[in-house]
Amino acid sequence: MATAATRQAGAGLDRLRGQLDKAGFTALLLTSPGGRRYVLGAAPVHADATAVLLTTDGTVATAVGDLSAAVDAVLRAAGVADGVVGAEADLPWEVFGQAGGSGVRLRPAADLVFAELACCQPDELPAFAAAAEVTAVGYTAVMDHLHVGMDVRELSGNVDRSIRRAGGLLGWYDPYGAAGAAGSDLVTVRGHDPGTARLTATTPLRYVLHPLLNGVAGYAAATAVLSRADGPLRTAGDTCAAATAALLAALRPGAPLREGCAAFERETGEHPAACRIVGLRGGGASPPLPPDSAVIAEPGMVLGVRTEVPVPGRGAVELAETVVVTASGAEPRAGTPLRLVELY
Amino acid sequence: MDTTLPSGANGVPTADAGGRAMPLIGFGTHPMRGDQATEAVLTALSVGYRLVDTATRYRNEAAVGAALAATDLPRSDLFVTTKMPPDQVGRERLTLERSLAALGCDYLDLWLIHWPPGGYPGVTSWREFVRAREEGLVRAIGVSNYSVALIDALHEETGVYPAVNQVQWGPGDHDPDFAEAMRRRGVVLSAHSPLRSTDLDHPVLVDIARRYDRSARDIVLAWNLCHRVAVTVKSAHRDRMERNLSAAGLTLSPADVEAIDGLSMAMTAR
Repeated sequence: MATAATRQAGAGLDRLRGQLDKAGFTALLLTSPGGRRYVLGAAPVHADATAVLLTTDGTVATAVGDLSAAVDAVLRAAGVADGVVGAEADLPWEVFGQAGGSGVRLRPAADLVFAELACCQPDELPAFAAAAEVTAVGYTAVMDHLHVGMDVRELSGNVDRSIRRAGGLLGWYDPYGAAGAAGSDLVTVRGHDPGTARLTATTPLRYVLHPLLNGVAGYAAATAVLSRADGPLRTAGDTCAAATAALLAALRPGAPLREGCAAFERETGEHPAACRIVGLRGGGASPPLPPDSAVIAEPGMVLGVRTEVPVPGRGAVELAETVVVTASGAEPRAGTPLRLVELY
Repeated sequence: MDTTLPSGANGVPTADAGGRAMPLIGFGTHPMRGDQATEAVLTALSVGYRLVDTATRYRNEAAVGAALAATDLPRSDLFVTTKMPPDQVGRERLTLERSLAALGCDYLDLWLIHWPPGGYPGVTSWREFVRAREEGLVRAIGVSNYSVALIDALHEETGVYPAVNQVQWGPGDHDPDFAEAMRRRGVVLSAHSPLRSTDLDHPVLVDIARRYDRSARDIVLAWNLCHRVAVTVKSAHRDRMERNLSAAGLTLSPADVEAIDGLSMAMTAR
C-alpha cells in the first residue's frame, strides 16, 4: 500500500499553480517522468515517486509504489476529496474509476503542463542557449576522428570527456527507444555492430546528445554514415531533412504547435516516420506534445524537436534540435546538422 | 598555378589562388590569443604583411578580427585565411558564418579544411565549400594536410581542385614529386611550420647562411619562395617579423637551392 508525504511547493511552481486555478482545477496529478521531475526536481530522493499531486494552495503530495494506490494516497494526503483534478498523462481506467469513487473528477491537463514546460521567462533563455552549445560540443566530439571500425565506446568516451570539459554534467538518460543503444549518460549511440561494438561503413550512426548544464538539459541528435549513402539511406535522409525543415517552418507564433507535426507528416507522406515535440524546462524533456494539443506557439518557448525516418534493415535517420520560438519563427540553438551527414 | 604574378606589398611575391593574388609570405597567428594576437596582427600589418592566417581551432578569430577592424588598410589589400576543423563536418555553413562574424569580414579570401575529416576526403564538406565560394562568401577554397590521393578524390567527386594545400613543409619535408603533383593540379603549395622538420644547425644551412650573411631561418624561408611555396610564419616580435618578411628579397642560387633540397628527410611518398 502506498503511503504519501506532503510538503509546500516552492516559489518556482507559483506560475503553474496560477494556471491550475485559472483552468478551474483543484489540483494537478503528475505521473509522467518529466512532469514529476519538474515538480519535485531531479534529486535522487524523489526518483521513486510514482504519483505527484500539486494543489492550488501549494501542497505537494508524493507517493511511491503501484500507480493506482499511489494516486489514491496523494489525493488523500493532500486533502482533495472532491473537485476537478488535472491529469497530465494518460492513465489506466482503474485510476479513473478509483478517483471517481472518491468524488474527484479527473480531466486532461496535458496542454497545461506542456505549456508550462515550454514557456520560458527571458532570463531563462541564456541557460538554454548555453546547454545547447554544450550539446554542440558533444556533436563535434563525435565527428572528430570518426571512422569505420571505431569502437563505439571510444566515441562515447570522447563525447563524455569533451562535454565534461565544457562544463556539462550527467544528464537525463533518454528513455526513448533505448534498446540496442550504447553510450554514457551524456550521449546515446545507435548504429554500431552489436557483435563488435564497432562502426560500420553502411549502417547510419545515430547519436542523441543529452547533457545537463546547470540543471538545464541540452537536446540534439544527428545521424552520420561513413560512406556515400546508397539509395534507401539517401531517400530516408532527404525525407527526414525536408520533413524536419517543414516542421520547424510551421512553428510560428500564433500557430498551434501541432501544426509542426502535421507539416512533418505531410512532407513524409507515405514514408513511415515519427516526430515529437517536447518542452525542455524542468531539467529534461517533457512528455511529447499530444497529437490533439491546442497549445499555441509563442515567443520564448524552448522546444526539443525530434524526427526519425526508418531505413529498412538499418535503423533510421534521426535528427533533433533545441529550438527557441521567436517572433520570426523557430531558431535552432545547438546547430547540429538537420540532414544526414555523409562522411567519405 | 601561376606564381609569377607581380610582387605585392613590400616586394612579396604572390601566387594565383583561385583567381586571387595570394602573398607568398603570410603571418600565422597560432597559438596567440586575445590582446597578444590583436597586437601582433596589427604590428605585422604595419611592417608589410598582408596575409593573415588563422583558424577556428586557434580560437583567436575575434582577436584577429579586432586587428582587422583597427587597421587603416583597406579590406581589399588584405588576404584573410581561416580554416574549418574536421569536427565541424555537417556544420560547415554555421562554422563559416561564425568565422566571418568573429573576423568582422563580409568574405574570406581563403577558407581551408584544416585536416581530412576522419582521414576521408570530406566530399560533402567540400561541396559546401564550393557553394560558399559560389555565393561569394569566400574568394578561394582549399585544404590543409591533404595527400595527393585525397585531393584527387575531391576533384573526382566535385570537379573542383583546392586552390591551396597547406602542409608542413620545409627542407626536411621536401618532396619534389609531391610539389610537382600540386603544381600540375594548379594547387598552391603552402607551408606551415617550415622550420619544424629542419635542423637549423645543419652544416649545409649554416654554410649557406654565412655566405649570404643571413640566419639559417631566413635561408629556409627564401628556399620556400624560390620553390614558389607560400610560407606562413609567426612571431610576436616586430624585429623578427621584419626579418622574416625580408626573406622575400633574398634570392638563392640554383646550386644552393639544390643543396637544401638534398636535406630532405621525406622517406615515403605522401
